[in-house]
Amino acid sequence: MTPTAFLTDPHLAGLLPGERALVRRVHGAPDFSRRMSELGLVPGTEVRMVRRAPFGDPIEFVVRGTHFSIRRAEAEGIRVVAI
Amino acid sequence: MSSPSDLAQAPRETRTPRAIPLSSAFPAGTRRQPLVAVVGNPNSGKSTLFNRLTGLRQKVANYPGVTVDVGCGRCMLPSGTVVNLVDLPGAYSLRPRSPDEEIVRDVLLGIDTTTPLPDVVLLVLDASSLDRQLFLALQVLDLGLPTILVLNMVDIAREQGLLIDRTALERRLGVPIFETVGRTGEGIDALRLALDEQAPRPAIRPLAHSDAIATEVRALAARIAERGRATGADAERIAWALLCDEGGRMSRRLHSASDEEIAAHRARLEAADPDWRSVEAARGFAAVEALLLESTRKVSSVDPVRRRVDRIVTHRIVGPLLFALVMGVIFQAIYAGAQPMMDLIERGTSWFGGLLSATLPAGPLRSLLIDGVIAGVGTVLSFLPQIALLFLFIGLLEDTGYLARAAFILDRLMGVVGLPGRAFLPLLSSFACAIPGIMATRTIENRRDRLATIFVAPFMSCSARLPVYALLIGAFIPNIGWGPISLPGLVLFALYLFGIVVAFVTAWALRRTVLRGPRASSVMELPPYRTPAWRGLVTTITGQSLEFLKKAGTVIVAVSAVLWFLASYPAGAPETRVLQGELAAAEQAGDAAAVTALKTSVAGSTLRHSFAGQIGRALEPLIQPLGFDWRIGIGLVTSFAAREVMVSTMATVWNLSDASDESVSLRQAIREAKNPETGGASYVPLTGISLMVFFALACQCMSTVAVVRRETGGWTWPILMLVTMNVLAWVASFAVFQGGRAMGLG
Repeated sequence: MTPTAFLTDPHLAGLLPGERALVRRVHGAPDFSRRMSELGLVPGTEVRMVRRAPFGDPIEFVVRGTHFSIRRAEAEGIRVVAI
Repeated sequence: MSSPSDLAQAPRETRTPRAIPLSSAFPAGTRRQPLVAVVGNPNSGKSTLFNRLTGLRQKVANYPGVTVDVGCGRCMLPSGTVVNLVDLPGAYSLRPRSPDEEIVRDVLLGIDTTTPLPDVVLLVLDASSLDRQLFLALQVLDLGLPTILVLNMVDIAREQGLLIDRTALERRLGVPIFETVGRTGEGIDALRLALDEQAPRPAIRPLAHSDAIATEVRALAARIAERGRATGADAERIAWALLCDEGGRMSRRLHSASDEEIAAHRARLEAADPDWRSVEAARGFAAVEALLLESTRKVSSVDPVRRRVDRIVTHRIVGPLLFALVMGVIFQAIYAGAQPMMDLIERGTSWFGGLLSATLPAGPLRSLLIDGVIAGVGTVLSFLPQIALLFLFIGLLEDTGYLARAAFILDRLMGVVGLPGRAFLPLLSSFACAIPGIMATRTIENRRDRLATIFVAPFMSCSARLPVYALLIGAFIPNIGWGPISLPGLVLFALYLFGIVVAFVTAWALRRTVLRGPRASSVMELPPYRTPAWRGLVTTITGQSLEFLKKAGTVIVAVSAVLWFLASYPAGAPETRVLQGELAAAEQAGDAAAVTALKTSVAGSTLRHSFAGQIGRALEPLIQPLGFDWRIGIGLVTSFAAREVMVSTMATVWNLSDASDESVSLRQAIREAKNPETGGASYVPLTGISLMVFFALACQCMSTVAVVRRETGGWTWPILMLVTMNVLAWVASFAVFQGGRAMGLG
């Protein structure tokens, strides 16, 4: 993957409320990516962006039926492919 | 060969229960009873189930991470056997990211120092969230301990259209499965019956390692086996836990392998497979999906309540306004709603005091009981309604799920001062008491975030400050109202706001100085909305109120009695005797004005010459610039036992000065206090405001200091906190009093 391709890869924070996508890879600190995978964000999992918090950050998303809140900066590390 | 302490805390040749050093959690005499560990995700209804089984009072709330302390209880089974239950903190995974989750891993691996390896694991899953929570179940089943699986909240799952084929799931996992509804108690009896039978060990090891991981795990396990007493699969489980424990403290506690060794294995693993960290989860969730495909069917999956409510609650404009409104209503309700009950209790205690004074002969004993004990306890008791209301509101917010939304809304704002949204719950709990609040910070994964939260938690106006505020507001703030809003209510709200602002400024300063560093990641679950578990709420409030009363009944009675002594003795100073003589003469002459004046003088003289007066006077030079006299000085000293003791101290001090039979309430006594030397009013409203500011900021609670020491593992933080808070309090009160005077107020 070229660096440019990496930068333009869609990520969770870039989805619009209500949009669905599949997880491709989770970037970030080792313990963060581990925890995201343990919450079910493994490659191929469907995620749905629900909303942004009133002040723009964090965002709410659904994975495997559970709603989570995560900060935008971290959500940018969750690379997805649009469905 | 390693030292004898290597793995000594976890000697496990077999997986049978062993004799262990019992902690206070397992009182003597319980060691032969089987131990059942309740394990599950945060918010899986684990604690509600635990309460159902044990009947023990314990905090239950619909908010991830409320169970921060390990709850213990006993359960009598149908056969008459008694088992010990331990309610482990909620965990998303056995690869911990917080001290909370570390406890779960350590207990289940049998390496915890206080809790022995459980005989049975009661694995609780939220049935409506199986697709995610089954992952933890697979991790637990992988340990091979006898396990019973509980699908809790099946009612919600059914409502959401989820059909679960329990027998199919049982067959695949090889452990018995039970369906329960913790809130109503459905299925609990069957579960009790099941606990009576020997639970089977799971038939499967669902989470096989990839080749790359297995290689390193085996290599590290061989080293552990060489040194410690763990062998075979046990050593491999410990090895894998050690490899996953990046940045954790497991190796330092376990001494089974050095940090360098572990790092070397990890580096080799990293080279072989850079994605090794998500292999377990990827395999686990693949297994979960296969399991669910076979054993469940989903008919519909929308939660209309959540969608509708969240649309309003987290709305861009309505959401924050609603939050402010909810907080405002809570504080107004606490102030106004408790009033009738408070009046009733106050009348009750004064009636009781009158009864005693009519039956007991005059003398030191009567004086001690009425002026020391009953006056002290009675005053503190009258604030119980406010405290119960506060606990009720916090409990309601937690139970309904609104608290998580509040954290969601506030995360950005909290981020301005460098705190995570998650710090909201510990800080909110600190409005009740800083001690549970500080303990609740264990759910904050990052140490810097956690320390900052601990440090500022005591700035939140705890319930012990409420009596002091209420007394001073009652004494100095005129009761003017505009419709539902009253000036006293506004002042109380302002005091709470003041504590919050100072807490945030302090947090901001900490995160830029001693606790500098990037914000840690914060992933937070937003649970579904639920109707409050009223039963649990009532037991929680009762427990917390009783706790407060117990404190009022022991510490405060003791302090009241000591204070009565300090304020009454040594009696009979020459000056007092002269005044008493003059008083007797004036009484005989029937000079009413002189009698009133002399009575005040006698009381003032007694206090001035008492031990308490001497201590207060010694403090006076330090606190005079804040507008406080030596009588308040006495209160500041005694409030170190607990802040609310200030109120009973004042009661004791003023009841003594009020030697007449006319009942003057404490508020009036303070308002009308005369300076014995000048004859003018001792306190002006500005004194009251200065004193409230002092109480809002000062660290006057020895229990808080002790808890901070325990939670931070040293004296550095508690001492830093004690000094910072008290210096801040002095400076702020000084600014308020001197600034106010300069502006011509008071």
